[in-house]
Amino acid sequence: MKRCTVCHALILCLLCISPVAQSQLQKIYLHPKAAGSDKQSNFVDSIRFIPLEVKAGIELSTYNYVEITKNYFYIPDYYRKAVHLYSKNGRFFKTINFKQLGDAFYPVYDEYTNRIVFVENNKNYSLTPKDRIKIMLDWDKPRNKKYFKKYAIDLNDTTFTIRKDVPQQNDILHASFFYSDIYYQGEIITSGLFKDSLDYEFKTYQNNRFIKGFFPYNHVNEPRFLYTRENISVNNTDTPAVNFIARPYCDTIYKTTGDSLYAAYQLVLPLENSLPASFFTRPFKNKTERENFNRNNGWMLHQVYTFYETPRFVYFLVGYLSNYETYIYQKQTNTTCKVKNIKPDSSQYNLQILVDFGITRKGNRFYKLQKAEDLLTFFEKNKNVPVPKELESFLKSNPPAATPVIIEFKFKN
Amino acid sequence: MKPLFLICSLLGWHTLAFCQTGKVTGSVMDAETKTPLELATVAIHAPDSSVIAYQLSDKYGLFSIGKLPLKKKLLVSVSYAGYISYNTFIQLDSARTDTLAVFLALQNKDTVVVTAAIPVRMNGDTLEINPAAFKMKSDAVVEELLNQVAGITIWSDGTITVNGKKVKSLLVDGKPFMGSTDSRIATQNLPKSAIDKIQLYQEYDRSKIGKENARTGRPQDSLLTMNIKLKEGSKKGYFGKTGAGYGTMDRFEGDLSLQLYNKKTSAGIGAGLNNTNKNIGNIEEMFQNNTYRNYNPNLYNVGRFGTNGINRNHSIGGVLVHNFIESENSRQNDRISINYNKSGTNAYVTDLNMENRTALDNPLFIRDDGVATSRQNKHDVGINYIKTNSYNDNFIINGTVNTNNKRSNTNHTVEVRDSANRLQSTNATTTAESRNSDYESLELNFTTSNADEPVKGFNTRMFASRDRNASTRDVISEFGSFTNSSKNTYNNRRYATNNESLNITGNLEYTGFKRMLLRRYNLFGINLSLMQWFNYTRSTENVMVSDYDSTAKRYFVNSNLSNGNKKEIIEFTPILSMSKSFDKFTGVFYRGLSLQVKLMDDLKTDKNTSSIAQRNLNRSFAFFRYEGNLDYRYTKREKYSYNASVSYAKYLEYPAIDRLYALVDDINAYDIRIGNPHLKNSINHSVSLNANFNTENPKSLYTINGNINGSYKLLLAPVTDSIINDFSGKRISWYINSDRTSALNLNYYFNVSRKLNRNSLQLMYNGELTTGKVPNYIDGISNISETGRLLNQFNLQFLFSSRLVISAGQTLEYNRSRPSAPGLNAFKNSSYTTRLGIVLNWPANITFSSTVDKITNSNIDKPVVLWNSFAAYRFMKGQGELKISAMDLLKQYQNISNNVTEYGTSTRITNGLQQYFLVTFSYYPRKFGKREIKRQSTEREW
Repeated sequence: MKRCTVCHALILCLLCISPVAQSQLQKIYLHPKAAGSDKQSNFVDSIRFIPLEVKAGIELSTYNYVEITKNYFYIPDYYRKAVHLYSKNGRFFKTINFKQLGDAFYPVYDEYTNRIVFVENNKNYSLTPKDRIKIMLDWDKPRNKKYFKKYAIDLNDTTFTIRKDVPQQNDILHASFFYSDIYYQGEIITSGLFKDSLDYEFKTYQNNRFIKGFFPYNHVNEPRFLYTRENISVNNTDTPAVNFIARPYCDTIYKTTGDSLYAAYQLVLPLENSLPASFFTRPFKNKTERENFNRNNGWMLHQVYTFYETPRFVYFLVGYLSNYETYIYQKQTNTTCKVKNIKPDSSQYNLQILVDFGITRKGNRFYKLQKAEDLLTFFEKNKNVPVPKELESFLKSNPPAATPVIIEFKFKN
Repeated sequence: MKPLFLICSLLGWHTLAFCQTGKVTGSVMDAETKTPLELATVAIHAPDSSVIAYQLSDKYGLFSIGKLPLKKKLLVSVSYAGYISYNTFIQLDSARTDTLAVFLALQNKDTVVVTAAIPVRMNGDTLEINPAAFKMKSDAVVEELLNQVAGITIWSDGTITVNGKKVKSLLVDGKPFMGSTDSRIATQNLPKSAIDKIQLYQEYDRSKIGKENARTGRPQDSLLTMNIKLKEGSKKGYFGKTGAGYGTMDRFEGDLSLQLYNKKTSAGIGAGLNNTNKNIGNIEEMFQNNTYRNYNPNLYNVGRFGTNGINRNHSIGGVLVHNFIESENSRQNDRISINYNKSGTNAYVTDLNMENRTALDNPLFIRDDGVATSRQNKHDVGINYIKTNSYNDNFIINGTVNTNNKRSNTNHTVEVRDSANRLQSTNATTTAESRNSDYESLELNFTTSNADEPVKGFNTRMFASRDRNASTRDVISEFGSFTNSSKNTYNNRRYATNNESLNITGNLEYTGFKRMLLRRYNLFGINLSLMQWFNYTRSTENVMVSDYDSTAKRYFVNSNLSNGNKKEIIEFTPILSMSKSFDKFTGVFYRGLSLQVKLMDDLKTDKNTSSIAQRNLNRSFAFFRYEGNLDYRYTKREKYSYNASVSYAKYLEYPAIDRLYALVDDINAYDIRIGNPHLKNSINHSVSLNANFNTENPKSLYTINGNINGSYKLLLAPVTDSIINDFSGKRISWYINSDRTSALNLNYYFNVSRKLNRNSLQLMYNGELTTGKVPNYIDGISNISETGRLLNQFNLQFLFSSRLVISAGQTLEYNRSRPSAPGLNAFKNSSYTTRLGIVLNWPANITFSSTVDKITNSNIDKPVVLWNSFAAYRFMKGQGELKISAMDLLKQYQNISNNVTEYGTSTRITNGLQQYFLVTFSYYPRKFGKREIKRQSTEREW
């Protein structure tokens, strides 16, 4: 009887929890063809300028962005193979050239170790996709480490020297820092080389030990992942250990707190942007059939990438099968604006701050690079608008047009 | 040149006259928030609904559209997805700027129905053109639509460029239309109303399978492709032309083409018959020449005055193309094409050839008068099958069967005179020839590469052909010398020849060689490839020569000239190719350098079996050689692009058996060739250069492209001639090895197009320069013959909307031959052709056109003018056409051509067409989908 009571209580609890959990799933309505437009000042405030020290040869180009580390800003310049390092108040420290590492290397900030890390394939070897899977399967064999090269700049060491490092398991398995001492792996591959057909789209590790897996799929022949390589997108929040994750070919955005996970948002798209049911059940016969499908259905949902939530807005990037768009969802009005349609005004110095590419986030603050000429032009044309204090001396020095200025901003609360 | 300057001035004046235009500027904002709307479409329409200009608003919502017509009611339409469109009429009365402030209101925040027709938009990596956004005549074809799209230029030679880049492949629903590679069959036939959209994208080049980009590891996408997507309801239809004409001088012509298509199959038949020298050609050419509407008509696709003689041509054929799959892109193909063509020509040619020939202290002038009649019949069958499963594989089979029979009779009378115009000799020749031949070939290509398993990548080509030739030739030749009567000869000879040859050639390129050899090791990024090339040729020739004995009245075998030969050549070349690429890409530019070196060993065996003892000769050669290639390309994004490549090749040539032991037949009175068994091998060094430039600026009104292509060849120990010229004009040539010969060839073009609203001005220039130095002996004197040819062609074309096309062109040709030895004479000739053309498509349904060619030749006294005029009227709702052609109105045309060799120059004048008038009626059956496309009154939708 006692056992029966416990069972009933448990069922009752579950019944109560279920609607609560269900009600947490919020819907984001998006009509890609008719996404609205609005003023930028309705979304963004707390704009602060961080003018960077003028240095000959450092110019802003189309694809530059700023990375925020514990003590520094740095601007990676892939084309010139250099990293420009600045203090948090814009003072220039050093340009670190990584040309000698080779064409493929790209700097990535590792928050956990406070280092700028370069991990790439060893150019002395040419690896096929199949080779990579074989190496991943035997990642612990020491000889497999020769296929990769790793370099790092320790930002705690003010010499900022590029030092050779040994590729680790995380580097070979493409695992990234999640929270605390937990790493995650979100790479999704199907291949006949895998002996075990069970794998998870999202896996967490601690000390190289598998902890938990979410979203099982067939590692050998899952229809939706055949002839492609996908990744879970993970977006941290302002709260440590709380993240949003989005899966490929899935309209649900999940929230993780520690090692628990639940559905938080659902992207509601018109039928023409939704994947047909057959996509999930009928496997593509070959890679070409998959490529044809992508080309012929360029505006069908592929995956949500960037995802950031504030009390009023949700800022997110949607990847379609052949297109990308960034949107802002306004919770109060249930409307979605396309970032391309959001226009600045003079209250924000006519600066297009919300753009599709080149925005970095750290906590609740966003960072974007702007050319000095945009500011010079604005204040030249609008002499009645007071120049912000932090820009006064910078603009008076008449900096070269392409000198970068960091704009820090927040979404309105 | 004067007429050209006059035309240029007139065009300049005309352009200036049209410069009186107006301008509209303004801004587009959200009515509620007053935020500027970027990328709003601002379109200006003419009263007939056609788009005059359109622009997308900038990031501040601003737009500025200039060069608008004055005193004309214009509709300004501003549209933006999700907003209610704004329409207003304006009329610009003077050359001032009108300003509009447009505030667009949201349709509905929750559900927005998009109705705006955006002319051009990006969909992923594909630029899409929406025909619905362009208001045009209901029967307008794709070519007329493309001419309305900003950034697209249709050149006068039919080439299409998009922002300066050449469209290299045009597809309809992902497949070549009617199986043809010529874009005009689609663009000049398919009506705009049958088109859903036109897509432009870069496609992988299948010729580069296995040669992936070293940096990205992906195949190289270098083909700008235009894909015309048909509307679902227009995926089946038919179109064509049937026409017949008759005129003075009993001139007639008839054309037929009918093409049908559905989603998987297309078929067409074509036929033509004329006695106007109009080239009918094969089935594809028949389709090209009978399109529905040609925005820029080729006024030279008429009776051909430049063709030698009077030719009665006929051709009839058909093509069937079937796709076994319904794919709408070109990744996957499974297609078979079968074509058959029967053609023939009855020709009557009279010609006069005047040659200046250099000879020591005694230049010779040779006049050759000839009359020839011939009748030729050909049957051609072709089959092509293509199967591709992705961009990484390619399987093609090509098969052809041709038969040809020809009967001809020719009479030639040759007179040779010395520098004092004294007759030295004469030769009268009568030839009757009957020739039957057939040819069969089979080609197989298979290429595959696999990113996962590179060791399985290879590329193979096999080609086999067989041909058979049987001919009978009766030649009566009477040679009379006026300096030495003992050299007089008379021959009545019959040649019965049977030739057969078999050729099998192939190459196998193993692109997985590096992976097999080095596994995962990258060898500093150097690509290795192993190729094997082989060739087997077997040819047999049996010639039975008999001389007619007029006494016995029968032929007797000439055992000196009758012969049988068999030749077998086996060649094998292993090739090791090494290549490496360097490239750099920034947001602003791309530059790339690639190097390739090939090491090869030519192994050759040449076996000769002959009824002539000396010609039984077996030879073997082994020759190590190398080739190199350097290619540099630079692209400045949205500005310009250029590339230059230089290549070097070295190879061995060994003297052919016919040069070692030539058969001497004294029936050739003036040209006797004697072999030389001591000839050595020659070595050929060849350097080639190719450079291209084109602008890629979408904002510029100018489109510029240019190319230079050149080669320099140096032959060491080449086979040249030692010539002895007889006073009678006889020339005896011995083959000899000289020290070296060199030849330089350059050809180049430069094109500029300038958009003037809906009008355009095009300048096309091309030229060719050829020079060569050949050492030889002439009459025992060591000499170096220098030859040179310079050809320059200019064409200036002005297109005023689609109403008026004016073109002016000039061709300058100059030839020279200069011997270095004293006592030998230099010769030169030249010709200049000035061309003017005009097409006026006004009033509606009526076209007037005219061409004038003025030809000046250094060898004729006064210039020749060829003036042709045409008037065409379209009726029966655009499906019927009545055309009147008036050809050679001045009745003074002559066919004249110049030529140059190392021994002199020659000018040839042949008979040809003379003045005639022709009336032609044509009917264009057309149906696309369920609704028949018929000409309707101009649409007025607003």
